[in-house]
Amino acid sequence: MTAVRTSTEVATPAASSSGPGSSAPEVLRRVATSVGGGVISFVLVILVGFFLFRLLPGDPVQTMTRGREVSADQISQLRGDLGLDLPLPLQFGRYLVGVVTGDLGQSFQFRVPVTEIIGERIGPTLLLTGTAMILAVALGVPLGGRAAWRRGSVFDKLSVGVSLTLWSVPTFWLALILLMTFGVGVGPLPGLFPVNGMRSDDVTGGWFVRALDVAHHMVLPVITIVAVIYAQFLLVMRSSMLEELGSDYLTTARAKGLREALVRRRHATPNALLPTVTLIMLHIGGLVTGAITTEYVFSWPGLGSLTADALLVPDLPLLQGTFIVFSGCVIAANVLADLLYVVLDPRVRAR
Amino acid sequence: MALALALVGAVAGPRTANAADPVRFRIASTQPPDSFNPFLGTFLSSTELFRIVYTPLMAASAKDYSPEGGLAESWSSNDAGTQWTFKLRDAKWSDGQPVTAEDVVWTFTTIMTDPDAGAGNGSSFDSYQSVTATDARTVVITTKVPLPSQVMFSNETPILPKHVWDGKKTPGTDTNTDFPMVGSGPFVVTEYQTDQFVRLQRNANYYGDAPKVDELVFTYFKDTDAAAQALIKGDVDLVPDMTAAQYQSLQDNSDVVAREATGRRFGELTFNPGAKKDGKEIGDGHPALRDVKVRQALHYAIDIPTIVDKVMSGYAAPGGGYIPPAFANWAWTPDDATRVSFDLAKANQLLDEAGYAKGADGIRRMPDGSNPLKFRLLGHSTTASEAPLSDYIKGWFGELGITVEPQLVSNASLNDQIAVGKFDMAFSGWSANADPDFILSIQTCDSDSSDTFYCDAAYDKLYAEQGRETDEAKRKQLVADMQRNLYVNAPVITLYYPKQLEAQRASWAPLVRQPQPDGVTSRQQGRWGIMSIAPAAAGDGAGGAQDDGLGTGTLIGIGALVAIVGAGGVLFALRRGRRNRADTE
Repeated sequence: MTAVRTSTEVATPAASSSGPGSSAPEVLRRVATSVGGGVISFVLVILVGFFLFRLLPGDPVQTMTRGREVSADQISQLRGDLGLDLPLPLQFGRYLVGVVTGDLGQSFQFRVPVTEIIGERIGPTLLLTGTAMILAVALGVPLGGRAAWRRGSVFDKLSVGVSLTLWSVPTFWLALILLMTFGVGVGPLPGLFPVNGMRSDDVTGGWFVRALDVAHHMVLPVITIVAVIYAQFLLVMRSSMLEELGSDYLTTARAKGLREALVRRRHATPNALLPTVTLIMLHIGGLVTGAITTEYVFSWPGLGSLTADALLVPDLPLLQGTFIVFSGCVIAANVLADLLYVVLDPRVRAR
Repeated sequence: MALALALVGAVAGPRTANAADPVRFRIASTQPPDSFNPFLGTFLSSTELFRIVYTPLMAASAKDYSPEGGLAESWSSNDAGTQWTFKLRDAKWSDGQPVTAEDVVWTFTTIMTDPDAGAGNGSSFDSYQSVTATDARTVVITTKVPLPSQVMFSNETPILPKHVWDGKKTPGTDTNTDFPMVGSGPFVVTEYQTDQFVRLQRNANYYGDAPKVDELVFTYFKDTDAAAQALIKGDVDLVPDMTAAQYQSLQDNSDVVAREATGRRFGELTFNPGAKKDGKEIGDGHPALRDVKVRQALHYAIDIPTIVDKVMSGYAAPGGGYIPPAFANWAWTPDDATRVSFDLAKANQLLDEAGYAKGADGIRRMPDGSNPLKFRLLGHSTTASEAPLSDYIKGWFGELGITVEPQLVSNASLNDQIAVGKFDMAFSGWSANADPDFILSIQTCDSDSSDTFYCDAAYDKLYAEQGRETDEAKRKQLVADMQRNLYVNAPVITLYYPKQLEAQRASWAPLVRQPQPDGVTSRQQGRWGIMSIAPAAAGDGAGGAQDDGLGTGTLIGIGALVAIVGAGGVLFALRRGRRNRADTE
């Protein structure tokens, strides 16, 4: 981080002479606006969350009792247990009180608190998508920067071509191909990686062995996600780097006698990073939503398919809970991106 | 690199040393359990576990679903069929305590008195008057009305250990996740990794023959293609249910035995014969379908053999009676006089005779000239076979001058539309049980789970009679008459009985099927398949049966991973070095 700041200041001398505009109240106002906006969005999400899922077709009680011998009494008992016999305003009131007190209700299907269900699965999802995200950024951003620097070269064409091909491949298909090739094995190639879940049922031992087991399970799903998403980072980084290429400050840097690689790394890259940071932040918000398809193919015990299954019932409390968590993360990431901009770009502070 | 090798060594060390690994059998499961509490759990994945862990009083036999003793060693009833006496076998719970009549009494009374506990158990206890223990090993059940023995013996409620459950504050809503579970079956649940796997270990106190494997693992696959691949690899030993394409892809694999099994399900086409709720008409079903003659004509316009061949790829038996042939005791096959076979000319003739003449556009009208015969056909968008099935039916009915509009929608949306009677025709399907009472109740006037709204006084009368007929032969006749009633009046047409397509690793002996000889080996009404798990006979290539943990491939995989990470680290370190040098320039 410090490296980025230093060089940014070097690169844009105007920032250091920003004068009276960069006052503390100005920054505070910006922070307050983003945070306030985030809070308002979140309240709206909570209000909408309740009604949104009640528009779904399907009667949860009917779905849950189909094909079983149940009497009319038992159906009304179940309806009462689930709180579905109450008038809608009362249900809404209960929901609001619940959300405020941190109680998201009980899942219809599993009969355990929604917070517990989400809590159990959010870890695996974050682990999977977080790792994939870090790797995709680490792969996409430097490749994009280099591709732009050597635009038109074989390297440029190759990295853009490959990343775009992977970006347009259906995730489901890619995941299954990887599963069959490296999970099950083809021809002389043995199955190298597990094909489902996050842990083996036959690995016992200390935390290190178990962590290795989890890492082993992560390989194929992580590769799938990285392969599909790194193109975005590559392309954004490449195009913003292209914009910087003709800038005067680069000529200045070269005139100082800096090597080409240093000019790129210390001067061009920090400026080109700004749009990429926004994109990365937006993606961090989407991390919890996970990669539903990848979780599905590799049977990853995460949040993604839980939500998809809940839609079929519909399991209203569970859907409301995941909706609040998903939206909350996206909103929080947006607010963070806004705030990070203040830190990263002195010109924003200046305004 | 050296570090990488050291890491691989660290993992490989304890694994290879562990030569006496437990013998483990893995079953691919498509859904995680909804609850471990037998009072609550209703998912197939949960009830399957309960059948293994908790023994019911009576069980359905592997041969033909006929009643056999579970915890009961012998049983008898009074002549009226209102008092039932069960003598329990000498059995122990997995914690060493004896199984007593008090356990049965506690389980049944809790269901009958605690609404929470009763909710998941259905209505089978509605006719029970009382359940008492006359001594430590004798249970007496008194019923309010005479019950056919099959109805009484089909009560497969898992019997729970009173000494464990009595201590729970709310048995009806308890999570029952204090593993190991205390049970009376061959295995007990010892571990659950959320959405990943359920581990069961052998119960040393099991009353029957000891199982030949130490552990049973239900491992969860969200994607059935992945499950089939895991079977090829040997990561799982049994896949209970697969698609026709997956099944065919396994035919030539010598490590795998794939088989078609006669299941409990049937697929049907239901008509809206004039939906009513509490005596009032609801919905907007087409009036023509209220006419039994129209439904009979439509029956002639459905080519069931073609559906079995083309839509089900041959993996189904052609439909006929309402109860699937797997239940040989109750299944009914139409005799030659009643059998309806595909005959479009006959169908057209029947419609002409009934007065549904064609208009100028070739579409038939009601006898009074109103309402062209245009039927909506609801199907499930998630069931792949229903799209081609709709097209076939659209084609055949088109030949009769009837327009069909297929609508493939989500399950929830389909159920919603049917519940309010806003449909003309719909695809549906059910699973039958060892006792036909429930499946037959679906077609009665006041059924809560009806998706046909059929209401016929003669049918309801037969239903009431079979429910109190204690003579089995007479009851069988009544059940046959009910199926004939449905077949002739055609509120619903049974299209096919799908096969369950299963596959197991060849390194295990073939599992026991229910019913014999071509039934299912998993998702049974009982645990016959599970009990028969054993390595294949010697010389049968049983090598894979005892998979000793991380295989060579796995180790290479871990090695490759560690090498990649290590290489990345080295690269990073080199770059750091360069940067530091650059900074000092």
